[in-house]
Amino acid sequence: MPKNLRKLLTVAFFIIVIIAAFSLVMSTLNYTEFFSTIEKLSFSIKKFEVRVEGEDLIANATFVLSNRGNYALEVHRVSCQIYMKEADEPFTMVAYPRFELPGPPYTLLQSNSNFTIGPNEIEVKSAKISSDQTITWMINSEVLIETFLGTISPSLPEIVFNSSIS
Amino acid sequence: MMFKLNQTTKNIVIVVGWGITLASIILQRIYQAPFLNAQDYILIFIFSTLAATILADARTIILGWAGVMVVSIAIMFFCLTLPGIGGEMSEFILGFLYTGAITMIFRAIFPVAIIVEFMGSVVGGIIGEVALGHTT
Repeated sequence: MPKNLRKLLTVAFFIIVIIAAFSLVMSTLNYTEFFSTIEKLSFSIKKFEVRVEGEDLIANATFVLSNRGNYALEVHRVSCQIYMKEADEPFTMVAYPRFELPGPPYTLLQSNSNFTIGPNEIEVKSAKISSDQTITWMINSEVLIETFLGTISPSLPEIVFNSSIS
Repeated sequence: MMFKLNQTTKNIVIVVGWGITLASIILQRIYQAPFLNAQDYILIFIFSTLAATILADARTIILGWAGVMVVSIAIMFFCLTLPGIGGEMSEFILGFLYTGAITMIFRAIFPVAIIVEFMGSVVGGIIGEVALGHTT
């Protein structure tokens, strides 16, 4: 009898191990998909117009944050560093706007969806700009996301583009 | 076709299965929340009792308990860092994954889960020795 009972316990043990291994694989694939979604986050410019007001440059910008993964993400804000340069000069940082997404306390960015940020008026620190000059812009940004591990702020892909002043 | 395994191999298979299940219980929780709860500790205790009951021999249980910790920590570390293996993750995400994995594992198993698992092993060992008889 004890030997039979031991065999029975061993069978029960291995059934539990198989179930545990299966659920381990499924939940780990889910976890991997979550990080893949963060990596697939994209940030693009819908509209970027620059005008001169006195000695200031004002950029009227609309951005789009796209979730191309299979997970909904809880997004708090997007922080940008905007650099510009004329001709062969090096890039200089001219603005660092921060866009809080509507809450509270965050925006749920569903899978395969876009969120439009703006239009925003961004004051660009600049001095010597001639209005017929073509300017190269570079935008580095990061997004603050709420996760089950706490908040993280991964970088978004860098954007480089040209524009002229209206 | 039936495989006839010797006792050492059987014990190793049981320890690996025990480690897989322990890792699964802990990971199911830390994929959702930073800390284990009472339900997880009960599951760890029951399963450790079952595994130790099958192992029965006190020396094997003690060695198995240490082996289970190594196996389960290795599985948890592998699973938690899997998104960074082979993929093209940014430096930020990679750093977050590796430091996060170590922190999460440490926070999840020290000290309560280890103690609960040990207590389950002791209870299972007693059941195996006294109630079922030591057959190894």
